[in-house]
Amino acid sequence: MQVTIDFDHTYQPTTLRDDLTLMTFESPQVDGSFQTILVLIMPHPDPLLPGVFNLGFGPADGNGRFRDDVRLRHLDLNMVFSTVLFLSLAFLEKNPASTIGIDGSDDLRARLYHGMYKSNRQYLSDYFAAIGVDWYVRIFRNGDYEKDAQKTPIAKPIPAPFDYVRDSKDLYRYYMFRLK
Amino acid sequence: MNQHTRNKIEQFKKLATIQGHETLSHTKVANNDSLSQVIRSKVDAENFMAELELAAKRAGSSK
Repeated sequence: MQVTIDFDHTYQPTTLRDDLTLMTFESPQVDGSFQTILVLIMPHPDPLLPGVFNLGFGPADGNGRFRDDVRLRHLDLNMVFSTVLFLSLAFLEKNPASTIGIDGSDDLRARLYHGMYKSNRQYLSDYFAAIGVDWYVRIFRNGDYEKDAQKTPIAKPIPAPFDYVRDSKDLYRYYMFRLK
Repeated sequence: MNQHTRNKIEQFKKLATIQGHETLSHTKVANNDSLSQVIRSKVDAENFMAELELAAKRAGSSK
């Protein structure tokens, strides 16, 4: 599934918070219905990561949150993603020192984000610096892994410029972008 | 960024100001995500932020 981003084709917001951290819009579905989509740009839950925001979107649950366990059939997925990224662009224009992160909560979503970065490289490079984050584990000289007290390998997140040559199946653990 | 997109962003910001506070005002901070699970200490976080700055600069200078 390939997504094409075009900031000239976005849905009108039905709700928009003044600090640009929340928006809703109506997305037409293949079956003719409309689905309210909630987009949230929230401070990263880890207070030790200042200026990092988490981007999430999905069908609104009516309580200010979204459900990320529902699969929708959008009539125009390009417009959905373009709308979500346009809010992100406006937010970063207002908060240029911030970084937005997207957690690929499952492989399906991660593949979608990864493919979106790759297939829109030229277009998005006018706006965003794209970053991918891998987890690395240290291996000692004796071949053992660095582990915590519970004997679980200690994974360290290492951000790097998004590698467009990297195979699309070789997903990052976490995706980030910042205003260019 | 072209002027057209810049103008659209400005219109968007104005719309946000007009719409103001929305009815969905009780949104909560995001639940822990996968990145939170691998940031275990203040040192981890500081290292990550320093590496993020470098990565963003390098990514921002490439096409």
